[in-house]
Amino acid sequence: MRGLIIKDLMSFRQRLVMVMVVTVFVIVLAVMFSISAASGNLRKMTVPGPDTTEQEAQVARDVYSYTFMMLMLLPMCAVGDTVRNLLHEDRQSGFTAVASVTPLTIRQRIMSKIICFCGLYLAGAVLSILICSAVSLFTDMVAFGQLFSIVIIGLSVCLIYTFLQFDLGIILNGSEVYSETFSLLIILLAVLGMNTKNIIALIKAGDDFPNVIFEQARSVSALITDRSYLFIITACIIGVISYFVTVAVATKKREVI
Amino acid sequence: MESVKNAIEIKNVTKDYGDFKLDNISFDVPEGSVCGFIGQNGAGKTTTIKLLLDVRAKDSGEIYVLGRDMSKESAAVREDTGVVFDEMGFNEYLTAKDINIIMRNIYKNWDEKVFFDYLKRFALPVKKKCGDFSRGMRMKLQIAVALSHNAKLLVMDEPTSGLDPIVRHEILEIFREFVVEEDHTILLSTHITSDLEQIADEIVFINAGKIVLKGNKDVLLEKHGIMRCKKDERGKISDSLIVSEENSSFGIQLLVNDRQTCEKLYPKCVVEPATIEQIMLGYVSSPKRG
Repeated sequence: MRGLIIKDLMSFRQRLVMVMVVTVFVIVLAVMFSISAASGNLRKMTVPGPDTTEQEAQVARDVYSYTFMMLMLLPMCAVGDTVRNLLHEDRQSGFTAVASVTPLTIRQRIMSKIICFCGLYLAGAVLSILICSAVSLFTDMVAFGQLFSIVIIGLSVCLIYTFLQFDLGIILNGSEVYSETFSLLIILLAVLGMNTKNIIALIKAGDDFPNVIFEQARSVSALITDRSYLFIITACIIGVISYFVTVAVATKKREVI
Repeated sequence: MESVKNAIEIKNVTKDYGDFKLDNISFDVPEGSVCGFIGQNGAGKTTTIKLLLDVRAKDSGEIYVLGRDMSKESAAVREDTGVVFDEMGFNEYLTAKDINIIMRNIYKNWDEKVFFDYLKRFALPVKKKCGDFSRGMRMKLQIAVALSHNAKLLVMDEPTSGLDPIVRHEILEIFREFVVEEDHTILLSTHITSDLEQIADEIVFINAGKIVLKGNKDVLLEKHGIMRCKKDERGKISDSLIVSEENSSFGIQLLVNDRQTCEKLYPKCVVEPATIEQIMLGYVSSPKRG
């Protein structure tokens, strides 16, 4: 099993330059953001003044802090992009056939992939958290706790997406396009399902729409800060289910991993 | 008398894909032999090899490799089995050095020294990406991997197809060296029957998912023959001796399954030894096979 993990890490080695470029890009943008938030245009827009009401400043703070938080996910996504293609890459090169005649069982081959997914995404998350911790020292617009939570949520969503894509890739005989599309659809439907109440409230809001959406943004912010552990627990549960589903399907179908 | 141990035993194996069926096939490969597995494209050679290695699940039947039941101990058996496919199978960015690192963490008996010795012998660069290798180099790399974990059984699917005669000769030489050890066995699927004439001890011939011929190569070559006679003599020849026949303006050419009997019974006809290719073609075109 260790051999297959090493093989997948060698695939990551191919993308190391891309990860480094993205990381440097994020660091540069984070520094620019911090400077601007301390004494530049961002400062003017996010602090109430003669031209800016308290609510407008708050909206601006929310918009910029979310954008900044999303930016922090980029290094993790760059690392994680490697795992997205591992299964497809193995099929293209014929390594699936090579792996299937090694002394490794189907369970071991699947476990090696799951370890690799989790390991690479965790490495990416650590990289993102390191950048977050450094950046949070220079700005008070976003707290480290918020940044940490958003990285944990990003990690969870990426893992859920990867597990779904892995399962569907095996069920659909490696069709990359279909497995990616269906994985995204499932996540989108889950998000919509969980927010049905909010969506209905927005539809019924009428003229009160700005206040309702402002309130909802507040509750999302609270969810991100206080409940990020729920996302990682969900990712773990989906990971375990994914393992058993994949083992069952791969044992039946063969030649898929 | 000591009974012959079989490295491979396939008993009544069936696999139905709907449009193709591997129909109740059975054959054995004795330990220490080279078995040529021949047949047309789509005859079922690769499917049989995949079932043999438990890469695909069979519908019914039993498969024993190196004395162990493949449905229960396939992972352990693969530790002692080297496999070579017709395509390389390693990611193109990997170098031979990388492959060594990967394989030594997969096979318990991986022998780095043997691997690097083979690379040296095959003149394969250690640090070059294998995506940049020629077809011959890719095949040699696979063979080096298959031979570097002290395998007792080599299973190969068209390893010499598309290779030039010099590389093929070199590879066949390696196979000969491998079977010098008494307990080493090779199952070699190929279209190139001249390779088998050189190294095979046993022949298994599959056609349309059925085994139509199997046995010792020398015995098969000894028994089969090409008999040439005039058209008016054809009626005198027993049908049970004829595998296939071909008409030409000069007469009839028959593939017969008992050369000695034909020589005795039909002295006016010319009977010559048949090659593996002629036997294969004869059975494929035969309306009476089975």
